[in-house]
Amino acid sequence: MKRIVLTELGGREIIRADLELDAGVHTVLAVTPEGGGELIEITSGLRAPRRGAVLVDGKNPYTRPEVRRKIGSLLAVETVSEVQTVEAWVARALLLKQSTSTARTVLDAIGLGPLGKRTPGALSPSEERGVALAIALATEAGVILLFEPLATPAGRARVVASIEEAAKHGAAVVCVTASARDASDLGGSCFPLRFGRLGGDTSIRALGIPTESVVEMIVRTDDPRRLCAALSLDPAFSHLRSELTAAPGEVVVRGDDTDRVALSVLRGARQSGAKVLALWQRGPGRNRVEVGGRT
Amino acid sequence: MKSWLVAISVAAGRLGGFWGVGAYLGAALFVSAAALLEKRLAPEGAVDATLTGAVFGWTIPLLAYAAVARVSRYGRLDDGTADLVRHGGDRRAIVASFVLMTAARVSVVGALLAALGVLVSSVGEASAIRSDALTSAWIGALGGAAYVAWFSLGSLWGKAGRGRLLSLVLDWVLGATSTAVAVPWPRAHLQCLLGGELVAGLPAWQSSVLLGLFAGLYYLASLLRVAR
Repeated sequence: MKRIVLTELGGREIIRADLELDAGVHTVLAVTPEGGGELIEITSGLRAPRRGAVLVDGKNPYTRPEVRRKIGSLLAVETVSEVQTVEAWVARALLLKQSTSTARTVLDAIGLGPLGKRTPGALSPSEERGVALAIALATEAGVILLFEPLATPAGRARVVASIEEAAKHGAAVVCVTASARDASDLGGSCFPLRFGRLGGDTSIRALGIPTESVVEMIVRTDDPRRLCAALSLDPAFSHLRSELTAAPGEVVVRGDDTDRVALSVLRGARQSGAKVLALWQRGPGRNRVEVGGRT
Repeated sequence: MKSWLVAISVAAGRLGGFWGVGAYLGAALFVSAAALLEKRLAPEGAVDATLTGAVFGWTIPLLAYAAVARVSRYGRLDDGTADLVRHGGDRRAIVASFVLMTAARVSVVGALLAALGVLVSSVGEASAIRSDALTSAWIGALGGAAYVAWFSLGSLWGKAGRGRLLSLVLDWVLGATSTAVAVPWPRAHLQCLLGGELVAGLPAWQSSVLLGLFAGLYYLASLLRVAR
């Protein structure tokens, strides 16, 4: 039986976290960005907390290598060095974990086998996280701590199934995500993390956060009024805003699909004659998701 | 045991490759150039000037500093172990391997640089030059190891291992004297071993013993500073 206990935990961004978790899937919904990544780093024993304690099966992972061996983790940013191939990277991790699995089977398990012969330096950040996720999920019947597990090149359905499988075999899986949709897909119990404070078990519905995806793009244009007029009736947008004083020349648009939103902006610009000087996507906007939920 | 073996191969990787070739070759070129210059300016004092200046004054401390920074991934030494620690590696064993591996590399290179400095800057009998080169080589090896131990300890303090820079400054400022204040710093003992002023009146052989003892002390302190 795996058990994670956080007692009055505090760190650089975490103000307070108290939690007791057993085997199963648990999701920490990072409603605001503070503390999500740090929670994974501290609980996996990579960093010592500033206050409070972390116990995994009654032992402190920061000071006990044998406890860390049974913890798989996926961090916000993954980096690796001093290995020639991805397979060597995975093999090194498995050697330290004293696992009997092979690098090939671990990568194949989440469909990343083709990355095996590549050099880690040639991987994109997303692919690096994918490989780290494969290693984390290979942790046998332990504790698995994952930061945004569905934001990797491994397919969503496959990752969700692997997480469920690990939990079925007795692992305690904690996923931190800023996406209510991901939290909903991952299932299990849900703990909101707001401004570094971890709340108690609750449902996403009770938090009032929409689970549909929101894409937000910023358009820089020479004529925001004319562009807004052209975009205002387009059903591709769920939200349209232009702040003429705070950000003159910028139009903020939201929709549910990046390609659809971008193409609709360009179509509207062509119709209105306004020039699009720049167009970029903003991240999911965790604070905005919260505001969207209230409205 | 696995932590030791994996950490040794990781440290070897970090100190090798393009970085290793560039650093060691650059150091050798600098020492050779300085030795030739000293020989041209004042042939009779060229060996001393090369050793106390280019070799032990600049190259060995800076090479040790760069090597420790490199093995720490330019941050704190314990943060540089994160790749291995997260999978169950013993942090203390990994730091121990990193420091030992770095000390071994810098010792060998330090010995070669010291010998090179003597060979390039010397004039006179071959047997005397050979003897000088051998003596300088073991001082270079000891100095390299001591600097690595000292900088490794410094790398375990401060945000992003900034204690490493402080340890370099301390060595340069306090180690330049020959009073009791200079006793803990490698620079003072190395200058004494090269024929400079005695440190706090201690004979040269005691300086070499003290230098070795302090290196061991810094190494142990580095290990005690990190959790398992």
